[in-house]
Amino acid sequence: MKILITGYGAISALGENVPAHLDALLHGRTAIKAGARDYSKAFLVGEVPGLKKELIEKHKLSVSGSRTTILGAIAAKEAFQNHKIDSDIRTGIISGTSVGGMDLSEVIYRDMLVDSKSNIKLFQNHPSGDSTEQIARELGIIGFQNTISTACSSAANAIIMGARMIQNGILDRVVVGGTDALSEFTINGFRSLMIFDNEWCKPFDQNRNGLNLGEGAGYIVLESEKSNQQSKAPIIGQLKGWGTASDAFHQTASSPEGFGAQLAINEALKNAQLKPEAIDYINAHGTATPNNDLTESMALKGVFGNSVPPFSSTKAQTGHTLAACGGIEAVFCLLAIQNKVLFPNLNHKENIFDTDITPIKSLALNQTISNVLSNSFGFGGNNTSLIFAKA
Amino acid sequence: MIGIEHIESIGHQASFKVENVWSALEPLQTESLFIAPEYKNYIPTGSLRRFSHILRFSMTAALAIQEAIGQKPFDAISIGTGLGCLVDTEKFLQQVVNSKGETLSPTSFIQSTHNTIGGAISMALKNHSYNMTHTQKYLSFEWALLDAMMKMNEGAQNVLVGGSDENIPFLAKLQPDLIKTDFPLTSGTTFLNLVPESDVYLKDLTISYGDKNQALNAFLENNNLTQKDIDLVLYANNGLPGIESIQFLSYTGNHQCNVGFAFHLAVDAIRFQGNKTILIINDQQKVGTSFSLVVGKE
Repeated sequence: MKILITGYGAISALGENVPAHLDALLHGRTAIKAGARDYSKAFLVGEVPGLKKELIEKHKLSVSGSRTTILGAIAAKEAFQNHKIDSDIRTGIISGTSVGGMDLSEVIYRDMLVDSKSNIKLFQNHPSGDSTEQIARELGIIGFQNTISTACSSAANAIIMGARMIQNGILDRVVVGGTDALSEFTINGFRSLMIFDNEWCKPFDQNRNGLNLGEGAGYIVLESEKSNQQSKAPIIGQLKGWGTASDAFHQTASSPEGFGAQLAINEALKNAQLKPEAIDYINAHGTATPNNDLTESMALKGVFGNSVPPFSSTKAQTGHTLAACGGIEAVFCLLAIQNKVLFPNLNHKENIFDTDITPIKSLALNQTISNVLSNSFGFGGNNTSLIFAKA
Repeated sequence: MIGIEHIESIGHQASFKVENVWSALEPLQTESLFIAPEYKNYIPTGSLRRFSHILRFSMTAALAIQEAIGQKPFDAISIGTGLGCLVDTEKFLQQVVNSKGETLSPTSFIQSTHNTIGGAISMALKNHSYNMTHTQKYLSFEWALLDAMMKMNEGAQNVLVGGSDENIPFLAKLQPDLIKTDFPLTSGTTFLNLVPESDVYLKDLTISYGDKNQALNAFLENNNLTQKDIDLVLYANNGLPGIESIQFLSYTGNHQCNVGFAFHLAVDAIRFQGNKTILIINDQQKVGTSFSLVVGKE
């Protein structure tokens, strides 16, 4: 059963909608710079400009509370713009998040130490499931709504979950992706793991030091062909295959050979009924941490041998948007297909010695791009790969 | 119709590794303690020292399932948790709040993510398969089950499903504004494995977002049943008139994956109490009510 993609939306430091992202990608712009907030100003991050109030007003949102919810609502709304609620089309939303409402909870928790009764009600935004409920309400979706929380592979896994609900006959149409806002909690968390780069991150470079955090949201709309005959929403592409597997090696580091990653990529290829050579572009997970980029390169070589397809990480432009990255990067894969372009991997000078594979160095236009692989690997050894294709 | 092979629960009832959970039931008192099994029989000392409450009891329940089914590997692992790893979340949050700009210790941060449970289980079992974590408040367990049911439809032969939530003293501060309940705040987990054939079946599960009565009748009709065919209802807040209805909340207390224990009650009611067709109603959410049918072999 074909899974059509009939909507996409994205917000990140690069911009507040898909056209803004395309422009940034085509011009090789990065939005990573010193943060604007108290807890982010000492770090290089990909922050979405604008306070919550401003974003709500600008995008005419009915949601409130957590920044995760607000960013999610903006991107989901953009994705769903060519769709209407229709009682004949069973519609749901599956969203991935790792921060949930923590960006707000950490503020109230601190307040409570001073004034024990302050704003307790705002904790209702804390559960990860709350962001999805609010986004569903924003879109007018009353049906199945669920939240996936598997760290950095959350949005990618939400995409798989939604696709399977269509294939299993439970839904006809589903908004899928993910959202995460920057928070003091996550900035301190990743800093404690010592995987930050104090400079602009260098994905797949021998001298990489770590990641730059980002925030944002990315969603796509999946539909069955039958649903699309009814919705008549313009077709952007299709979700051709997927794979997800556990590395089962360590809570935060990947196995040296990227075993789980290889399993996920191979499963996606098998699911899509494609041979490795059919992949025209890989949007890598490429966080620029010493561990990820080495193990991901090992995995790519394990699967593709000496013919690793053109690949790039776009995280030197958006930062690592945690749970949202699979959703935002799904949009990038679709843009690559639609615009026939290969997006470059910025800030790369020297190949990783051990694997010696070179990412895309500069923008390439007029390419034939039929099948694109997108990787998202999360803590807990959760490895997910998606394959997007022309419709 | 998907078989339920084995089921384990750890919580405020003496349910762990008990043949018939109904024989162990006590109504929950405010001071009912969490009944912890001997974790060291399941978890190596090094990990045990590091693991928070929710990790200990979730891991133990999961490993007990693996042990009971004779090391048959799981084709997929599907976990639900409403609030995730609260002990470690609060620990790290306190470190953040009290910090003066220094680099913090990462252990609590690493263990604060919702999928720590699933990840730890995959490492303990060296399981490389599908591993998903669902978090949708009081419906988290149902989503984990729904995912697992799809996996079985897709050809899986043995899927591990679990739901866990832990209580921390902080949650009491949210009563009554955000947590409105007549029952004590508790912790708990239920794990089970789905297989093609068994003596007890999960016949169907749905989540309704509209009129509950309409949804229930449509659900039963889709399964060629009417309310008359149900011999037991296990419910959170509202049962059905005219049918024996037991409020599972009175045994589990309030935590977001408490419906897992209702499935345990249902399975053992079929196996040991002579029931045939059991309806589970989980109506603890403003958004979404779940209906599940657990039945015996025809």
